[in-house]
Amino acid sequence: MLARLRSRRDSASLAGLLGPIALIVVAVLVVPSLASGATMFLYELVLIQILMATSTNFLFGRSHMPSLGQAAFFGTGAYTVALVYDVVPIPAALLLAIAVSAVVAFVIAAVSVRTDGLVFANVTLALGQGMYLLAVKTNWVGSENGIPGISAGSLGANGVWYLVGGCVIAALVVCWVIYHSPFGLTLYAIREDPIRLEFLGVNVAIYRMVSFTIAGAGAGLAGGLFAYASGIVTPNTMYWTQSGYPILMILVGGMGFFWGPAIGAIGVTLLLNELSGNPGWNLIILGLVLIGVLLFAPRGLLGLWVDARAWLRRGSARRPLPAHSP
Amino acid sequence: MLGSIFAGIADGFLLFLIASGLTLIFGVMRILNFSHGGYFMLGAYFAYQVVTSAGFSPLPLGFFIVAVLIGSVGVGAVGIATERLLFRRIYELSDIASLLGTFGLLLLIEGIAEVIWGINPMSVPFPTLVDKSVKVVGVRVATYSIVLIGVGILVGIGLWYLLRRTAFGERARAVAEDRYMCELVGMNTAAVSTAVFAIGTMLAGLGGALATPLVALTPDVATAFIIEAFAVVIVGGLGSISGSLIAALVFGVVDSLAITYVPSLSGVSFFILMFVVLLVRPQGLVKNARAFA
Repeated sequence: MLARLRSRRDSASLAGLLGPIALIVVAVLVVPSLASGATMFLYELVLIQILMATSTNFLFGRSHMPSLGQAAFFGTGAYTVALVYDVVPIPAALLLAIAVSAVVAFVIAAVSVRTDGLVFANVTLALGQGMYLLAVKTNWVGSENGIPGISAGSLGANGVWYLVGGCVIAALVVCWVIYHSPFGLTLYAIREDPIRLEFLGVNVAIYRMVSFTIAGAGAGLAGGLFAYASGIVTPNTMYWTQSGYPILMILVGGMGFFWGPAIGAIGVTLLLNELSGNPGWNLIILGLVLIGVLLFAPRGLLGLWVDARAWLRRGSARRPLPAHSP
Repeated sequence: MLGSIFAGIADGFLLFLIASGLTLIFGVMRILNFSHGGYFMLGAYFAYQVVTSAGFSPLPLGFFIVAVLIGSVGVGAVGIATERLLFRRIYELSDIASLLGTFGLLLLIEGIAEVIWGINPMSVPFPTLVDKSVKVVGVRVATYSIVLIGVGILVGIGLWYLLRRTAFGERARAVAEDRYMCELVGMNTAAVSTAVFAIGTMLAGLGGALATPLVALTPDVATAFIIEAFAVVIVGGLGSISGSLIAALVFGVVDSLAITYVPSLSGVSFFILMFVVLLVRPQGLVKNARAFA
């Protein structure tokens, strides 16, 4: 408990924001001189997944709203950009992607926050999958084939890279500020004890709806950036197993930490890329990683790191702190 | 109209086979099992393997029945193994963590199936005697639909008898009501869990094997079917077998009507229906059922 509070205070200090952000800024500036083509796309995916996992963690680490439908908002953002890229400039298209996914998330939240826990997980799962099927069956978004040929206009390959990098960094800063704001802390309190907060006069349902909307907007921006990076959007971006990957990233990195999802996103995206040539084995290894993390490292890599540090400080006489169950 | 309602009822009973297993496992273990879709898919592949290894060219009904039984029992055996090795540890996690754990297992099973059978769609022909259609009260219905309905009714009655009229059923219901108390009075709750898990996965395997003539068999059948089954158990009311039967039949009929009259909504109708039901009754159709009512 103590270590958990301390780790939160640490990450709430400005250094907890500026350190990792500085690392990402350096990475964004350095990569174009080292990588190109497919490698560049891979790193763009890493950045996009960092944003996706971090915004999803509003629902897992900050609120107790285990959504299994985040891919639907990612897809909404991606389709929005795909539909408007040739009529509006890039910033407008991305703002539109954020707005449309936020609205869709708000509508879905209005129904799903009436439920809790497992039922909430299933409602979001089913609604997300419903949107996937709509995308598959709707002709003006290209049905199964999706929408190809999305271009970022005059931006070259490097331009898209800086676009993705800049947007992700800005979004991470915004996420960090909301995460540690009184609003974010109230979400955390609701997560720990919703009934008590209700009695204190907090409108729990509204907080949960806003939290869900923020996560949806973040996913929408990630999806919009994905549309520019990949140049094609297919219904597969919305398939429900795609909602599982950000959750896997959150668990691998550690959902109790702001930067946990980002670390998980880097690890899992690179791992998926390594495994992409081995159909079947990629799923086997992902499954094993997910089960292994849940059983043996429920607080993720950052949790292991914190435990290890505490253990080194205290000596081996005492057991590590009990795991924080998600 | 009548014809598509009939086909819908058959689909509904197929869904019920999966949903009832999910409900059993949820009732006793308090775990919503994503990997259930994986057992369904394995049942289908086991049956496919038996059917193709024999290479009959019209597929005789008797042999198909053997293949279905092998599929079902084989999946039950896999179920027992995974329960002993993995689920034992997953039960202790929080509900969401255990849900994600079973998601991990689903990925694992799907991956293994991809390695063994590849991702090209496989198919099994309709067995003889049930590959035609007959006229029932003036409408043409596929005989295979009648088979599905018959099996579904038998399974429903069998489950009712097992849970309500046998000593084992009494123990299973007791564990579902209060596992801790059962342990205090000396019941071997671990054995009950394993047995219930075996029955649930056998039902999934049975459903998968029976679905082989109807679907293009690929490993991602696992992820496609589980979502519909989840929708059924949530709408039916978690933990209620009668609720899941009602919901499965309603879903089956509505989707079948959608296929006939509004093809653009086929498949989506599930989620619209779920949306509407949960708006009105967030707790599902059958609320707070006593164990398995």
